[in-house]
Amino acid sequence: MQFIIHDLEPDEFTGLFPEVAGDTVLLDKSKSIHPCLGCFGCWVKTPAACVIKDDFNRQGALYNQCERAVIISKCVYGCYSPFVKNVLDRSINYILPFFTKRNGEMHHPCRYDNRFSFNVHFYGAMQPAEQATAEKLARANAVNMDSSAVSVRFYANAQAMKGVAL
Amino acid sequence: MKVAMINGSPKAQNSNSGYLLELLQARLPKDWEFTTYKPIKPSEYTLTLAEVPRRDILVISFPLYVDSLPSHLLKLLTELEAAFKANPPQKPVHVYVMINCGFFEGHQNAIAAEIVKHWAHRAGLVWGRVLMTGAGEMLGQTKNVPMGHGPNKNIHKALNSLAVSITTYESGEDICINPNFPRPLFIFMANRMWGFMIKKNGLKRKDLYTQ
Repeated sequence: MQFIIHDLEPDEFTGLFPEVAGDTVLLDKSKSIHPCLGCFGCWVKTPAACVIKDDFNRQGALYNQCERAVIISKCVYGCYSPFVKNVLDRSINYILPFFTKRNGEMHHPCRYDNRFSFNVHFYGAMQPAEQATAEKLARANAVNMDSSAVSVRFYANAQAMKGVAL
Repeated sequence: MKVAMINGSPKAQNSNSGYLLELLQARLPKDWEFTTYKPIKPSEYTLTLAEVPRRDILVISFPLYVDSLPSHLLKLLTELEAAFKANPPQKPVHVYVMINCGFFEGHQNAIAAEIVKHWAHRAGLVWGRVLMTGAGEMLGQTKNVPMGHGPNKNIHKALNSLAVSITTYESGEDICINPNFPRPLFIFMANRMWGFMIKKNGLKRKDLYTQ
């Protein structure tokens, strides 16, 4: 199973990727999402679930069922787009609040035993420095989620992703 | 000098990012004009987008979220870029940033700092300086420890250095600090703290591991 977080309009996504595996969960703008409140509720009030009752309430439980994560995002200043970033911000119930050491620095351990590969596709006009930052960001996120593997690819625009195997 | 203090924390109140803005403002000239902005939803952006481009200095303080900016702040920055381009300021606007993360190491904020630098460049602003600190939560819990002492020794020096750069309107090298505190003790206390917090909510420590 895989989940795809993307910031394309639904019909644009379908046009670019007409064939997606049947067990794919799409996380896109058609769903209702609120920004993270920074309340730590997903750790100490309603563990493993966000206190906000919207379509992104239990991201961790979803990720626990998946072997692959795919992110498709416009590159914004070397970061994900605000929508994609919002989805990732609401995903910290996937990890535990405790600290552990990974690569000699502090990180959070995962709540679950399952690990998924982290595959990021950035598109849009970007300066070389922004692309370098985006690559670092995706790889840092993969470390924080203790991902099994990571891949990062860049495209000049969304159309250039047509036919890419996700 | 007119300064926009932008609090990028998603917390409604009592944020460490807001506390850092207070600590910094106390070190800046008293005759400067400071306005704090804390818009979270797009419906709250109007005043920020109208006023911030008319300021001389922007100070942006935020917590690290998934190795980068909280999404609501990122959204605000995209709108501010458009606002600056639509009405370019008549004189250079300087940007100073403070980033705090829950991890011990301040350097884990470095990617987020790059993102804001790229934003400043695209918006046509002058990059000033960034202060990156680890152990942001501990800052809020050691308010009773005088600045310059114990765990607040390094943040005191860092804020003073940043304040000098802002006061002289100059750019400078990144400031990156960890708290003046033993890392193993920090990890021990932080891991214990979550047990206290969940018990306050009527749950047990073992519930922290709920799946």
